[in-house]
Amino acid sequence: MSTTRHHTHIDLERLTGIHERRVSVGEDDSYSLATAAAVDALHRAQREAASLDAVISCSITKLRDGLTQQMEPTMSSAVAHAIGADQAMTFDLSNACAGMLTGVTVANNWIRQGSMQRVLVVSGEYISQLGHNAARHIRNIMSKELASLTLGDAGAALLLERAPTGSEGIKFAGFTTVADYSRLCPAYPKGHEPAARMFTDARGIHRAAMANTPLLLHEVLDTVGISLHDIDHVITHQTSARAIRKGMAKMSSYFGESPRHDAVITVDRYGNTASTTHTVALIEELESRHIRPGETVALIALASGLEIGIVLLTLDEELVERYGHSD
Amino acid sequence: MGTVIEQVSLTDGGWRTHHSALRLAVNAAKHCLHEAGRNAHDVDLLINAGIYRDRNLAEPALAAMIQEDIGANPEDPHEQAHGTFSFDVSNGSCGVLTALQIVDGFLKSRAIDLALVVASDADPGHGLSEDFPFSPAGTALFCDWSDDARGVERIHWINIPDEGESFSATVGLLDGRNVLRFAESEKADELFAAAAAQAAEACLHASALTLDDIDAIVAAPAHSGFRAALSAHMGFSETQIIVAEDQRTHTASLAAAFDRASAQIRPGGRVLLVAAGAGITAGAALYRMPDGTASRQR
Repeated sequence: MSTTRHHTHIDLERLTGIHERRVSVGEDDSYSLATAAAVDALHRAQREAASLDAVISCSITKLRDGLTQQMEPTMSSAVAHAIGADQAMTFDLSNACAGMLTGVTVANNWIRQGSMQRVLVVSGEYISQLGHNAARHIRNIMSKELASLTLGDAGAALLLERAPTGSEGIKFAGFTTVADYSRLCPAYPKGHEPAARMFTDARGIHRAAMANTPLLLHEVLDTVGISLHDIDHVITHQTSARAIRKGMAKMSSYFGESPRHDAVITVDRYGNTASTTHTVALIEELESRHIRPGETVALIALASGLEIGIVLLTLDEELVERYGHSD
Repeated sequence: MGTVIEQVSLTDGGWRTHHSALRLAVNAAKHCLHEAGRNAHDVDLLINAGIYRDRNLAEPALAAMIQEDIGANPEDPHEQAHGTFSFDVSNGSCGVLTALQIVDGFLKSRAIDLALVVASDADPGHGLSEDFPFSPAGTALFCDWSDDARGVERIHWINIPDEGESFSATVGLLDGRNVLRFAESEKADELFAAAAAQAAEACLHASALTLDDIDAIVAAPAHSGFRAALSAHMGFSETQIIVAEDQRTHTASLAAAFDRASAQIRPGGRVLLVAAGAGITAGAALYRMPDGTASRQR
């Protein structure tokens, strides 16, 4: 809270569990973060950009050349061109912090049907400016801009490709939009400040997410034919460590059982990196050697809209090894 | 076999809507559902492909607000009910074609039965824009799946990267205010037409068809310069290239052109949907019109 204009008496670290986060001081923007992540994903997977059928950019921020939001052309076309994927279908997808998992859901359909072989879902979020803007307006703990202070910058990319039947991979990807809550967290450019400002009814969103996620997860588990205990790792959207722990406690009491491991928390070190949080956490978990081949990971999107999405996947040995885990 | 556009609705700017892409989209969506004899609750998937909107809103997806305002399963999920999934895509004049490809993926996998694609643009007003070049316009397309020969076939895409030189739009600080601004090259129509022609040719080639097999080209954007250049590039009569009536329609233009084509093309006719936009990105797909006797519903 050292940058807030007004003396606020808010212990944000205690409130959110965020000890540190990463912010660009201008050296990076949405475009450079997305491009770097895309290059890294292709390099690790040893795939050529020219082999991509589609590049989907899913960020909320499309800041390029500083704090200018690029409305057209698409961020995806710029990233595709930068990495050499000029043959790929390109488009941007916006779904607040659920953007990347929405991109995964869209790509999953095409890949399963065989209409595409390989799709890059990418996002560069240079969103920390919203925190700088909020800091000038927050006066107390009731401020609707408090959540903006938790935002961190990150680029992320997921390379999805068609694999033989029976392989590890995405078992389920689905979403519901509970639109009665669509106006609980809008963000838009306002006044004299660069980029945008975000106004969050954090309690309202948390309450709606807590009320609706268990039922939707229940439906998904029934569809796939597994129970909550069969899920090894749960990665939710990273808003605050407190909210994630409370949400998981509610989930466990609803189901009468728990996933095998505690919910993954990376918000304490990265902040809320908007649409990239699940990917950031997934990579962090792989690098920490927490995820083993064949284990079931549930990615749960909770985002302004209110978007509730669930992606169930297992990772194969090749991918797990690539991030440092081999036993 | 493919995604079928069962109903198209268009809205233009009235005094209550000319600064609201949200209202334009909501009006188009409501009208479209009404004309199709459907209830908003029937919509499983709602994709918004419009770009220029109220307040230059960055989040949530405008589609979620449209979903709430048309009343498509906005309430808390409950058992024995299906929900609606809403999100936005952005791909300039190619947005509706992009959305159709996404809808096709959901319909083909049987994840959904019915989808609504909406697209609208409006000058946000209130000093938030400068020289806004597009007319306030909205569209909604009600889509389902057909197992017969009708519908959208494979979409072919072409990129001719130009770093936004032909057309670009940004929101950034100008004299201390956040302003939406546009830059367009005089050559944009010609460059877009060249890209559109390439996509169209790739599409025809892949289907082993020629222009003689096509009843009309349904094209976006609607500029007369683009239409003339596309005609020249493809060697296809300008009178057979159908575009939106209002040349200044943006993301709704392909749907507006399709609506006009639906009234002109013989039942069972084949049209080529072609769109080109900033990037430069262009897409093309064949579309088989209903033969007049086919069931409109799955």
